[in-house]
Amino acid sequence: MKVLIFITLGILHVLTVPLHAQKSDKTAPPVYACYDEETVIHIPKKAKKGELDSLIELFSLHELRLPYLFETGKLHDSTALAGWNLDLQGNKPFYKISKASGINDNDLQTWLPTKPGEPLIPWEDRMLITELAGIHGFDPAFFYPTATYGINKWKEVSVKHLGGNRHLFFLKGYENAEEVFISGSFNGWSKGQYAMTRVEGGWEYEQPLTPGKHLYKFIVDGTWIADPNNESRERDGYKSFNSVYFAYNKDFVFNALPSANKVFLIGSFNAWREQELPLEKTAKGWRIRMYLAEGTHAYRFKADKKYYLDPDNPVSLTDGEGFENSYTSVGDSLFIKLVGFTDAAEVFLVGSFNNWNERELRMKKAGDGWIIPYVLGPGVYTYKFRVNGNWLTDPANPYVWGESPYDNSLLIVKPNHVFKLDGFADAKHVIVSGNFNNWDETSLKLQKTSSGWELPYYLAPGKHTYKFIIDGVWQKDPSNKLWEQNEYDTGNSVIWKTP
Amino acid sequence: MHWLLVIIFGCLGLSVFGQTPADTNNTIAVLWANERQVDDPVPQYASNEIILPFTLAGRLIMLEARVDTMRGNFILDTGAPFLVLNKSWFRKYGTMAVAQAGGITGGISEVMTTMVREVQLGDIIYNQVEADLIELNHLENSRGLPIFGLLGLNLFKSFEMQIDYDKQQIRLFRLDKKGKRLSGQPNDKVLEEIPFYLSNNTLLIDGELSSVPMRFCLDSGAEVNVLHNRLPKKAMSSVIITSRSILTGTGNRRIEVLRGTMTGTALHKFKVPPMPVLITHLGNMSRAYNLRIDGMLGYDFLSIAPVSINFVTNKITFWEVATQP
Repeated sequence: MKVLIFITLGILHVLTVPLHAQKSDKTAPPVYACYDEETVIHIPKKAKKGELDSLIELFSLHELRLPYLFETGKLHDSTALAGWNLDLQGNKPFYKISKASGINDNDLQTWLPTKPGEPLIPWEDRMLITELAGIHGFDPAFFYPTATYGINKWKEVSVKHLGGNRHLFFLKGYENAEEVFISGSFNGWSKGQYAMTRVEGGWEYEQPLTPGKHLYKFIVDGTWIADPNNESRERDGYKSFNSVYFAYNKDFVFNALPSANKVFLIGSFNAWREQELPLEKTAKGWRIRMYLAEGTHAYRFKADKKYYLDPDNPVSLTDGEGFENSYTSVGDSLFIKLVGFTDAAEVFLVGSFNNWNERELRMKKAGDGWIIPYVLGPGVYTYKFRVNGNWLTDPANPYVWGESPYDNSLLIVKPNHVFKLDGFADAKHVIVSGNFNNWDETSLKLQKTSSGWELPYYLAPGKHTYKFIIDGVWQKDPSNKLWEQNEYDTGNSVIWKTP
Repeated sequence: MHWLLVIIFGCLGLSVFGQTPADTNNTIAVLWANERQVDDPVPQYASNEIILPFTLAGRLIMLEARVDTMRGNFILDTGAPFLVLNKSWFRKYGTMAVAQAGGITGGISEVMTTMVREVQLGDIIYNQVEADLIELNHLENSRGLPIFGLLGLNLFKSFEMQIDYDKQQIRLFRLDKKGKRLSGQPNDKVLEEIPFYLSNNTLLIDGELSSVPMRFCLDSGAEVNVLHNRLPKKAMSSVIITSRSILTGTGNRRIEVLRGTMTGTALHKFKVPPMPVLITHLGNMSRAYNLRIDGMLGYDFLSIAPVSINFVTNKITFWEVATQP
């Protein structure tokens, strides 16, 4: 009977744990076993160094000092002192190392509800367990989907762009349903707040959307369904699919060859894939509407197997490999300026946005200084100027990240939040520190205003915790009622940012 | 119905009657014997069947509910005895300290509890619901989403609650006195039926591991099954341990967690297929309460098939997935 159990175990082991370091010897005892009475570890005597190392890692056996055992045939004194016993087991191919329960295992403690009202394994510790079990709690791609580009693929168009940020979702049919809700990345996957309106032939809902990628489903009388007329779908992280909708922000028009058979748009944004983005025929020629992320993009048209620059776009550059591409930018151009230094031979803009490439963004001399236009999406960036090879923070920018000589100027593009502290007119320094800057205590200085202090900032979608440091004293944001407890029992202010 | 509770723990959360602070020579929390009465909230609703769509946050069931004016995400936690609110979002609520417990250091902290005027869940309204307030920021941070609280067991005790992970849907059926659905009994085929019992709003199932009697608690808030690491040798012979880690838990406690697969689980007539499991020290349960608990069954068990929990017949039923017409 015992033999049978071990055989079964051996097989299951191989089936369930392909990574396992144990040999698939069908009679092998389990490497690690713990019971009410004892913990028993079996180590193959002929384990090679690599095998032994992986067993030590897999079962966290460092304290057993197994290399010493393999060298000397004895347990290390410290291992024996910790209560472990060695059984050489004669000719058997395994060392048996065991420890009775309750001996010197005080260092390994139990999960303990430290706070009343919590589960026996507190939620805090459950999250550790969850991580250990390889369960990922949150995929930002479902809540804040991002894409460089995208086009919609419909069986029948079910989302109409009404102009501006207005988009009308339509679910065809389901006329006998009692209620239909729309749920998606744009409403936090709400399940019962956004009821669609019954209209002739189906249900509709008008939703404001920013350009970009959005995920959604409908909930018909409590049952989730992906949009049946939308062919663009993605796995929903479980066993079903979300519908994908791109709110457009860009038109490409190619009217040079109205008689072409097929025209495609190819570009840096789609890795120059040639047949992915077909243009539609129009009265004058060809057109494609799409979503394109903020930034600068290179592109060409391919019409009947030949490549064409965009005849309507004067901006073209060679890519260094003999190809010439048209260039377009989505988003607002920033003009980054350095006043003075007109005698300098060369000035470069260098920053986190170009991986600190020192010779890429050459600035042009203009009037009383140097200038460069650059397109950046919303975010927080750091930069410096390189003037004749010397590093320089932006003298016109009061916002600086870090301490000299490791300081950089701080560039906030399209700030979506203002950290504001009213009063404290006599304070010398007010700094905001949070998880968004790794709780750095010096970088983000608020500027004094007539009524207090402020710093416009860009916060990514999601949860942010922060505090102010007013002349060295940490304080929660007095104007923010939302805060959570921290490990010092002093609390951190909380902001949830939605896209 | 009155439930005398002292300290309320989520899943393994049994409560203690008359526990005295005597158990001070080990690391177990000291529990005070303050009596606590919590009424089961009475649901008001029109239909015989309520469908609640959910999303998954990891393997946690996230429902939308409204507590007074706050509408948002709540985790369905059958391991929690009743409504638990995330303190961050409900600080303005007046609280009363109803019980005290000493932590590992012997310090005393209070259970903060409050009374909510109205809870809405789908079409169901509950009035005057007692709720605990706790810090749930670790849960919230690990999920990256605002989480307002936990919907515990006593909110559902007048229903048959069906959980269907594939459809991401909870169905609540109104029952007659015999536990039959008022909307009519289903034609779906029953795969397995397991009796359970409640002890202080904790749902317990008696079963076996390698023929050794075991008591499990059913916990939708457990994203992975957990077994106690001090079970008899015979029981553990059908648990295959594949790795071991030492984690640092709250209060810098070093905690051993083994990872493996549990085979040989039987719940009455149901021979449960092999399930992933973590094995760790759950000594508190066995020692702090008269009732021994050997492990908790969570997501991997509840997602075997659509499953319903009937609180009148005290039966858990797994249903065959109906084929689409």
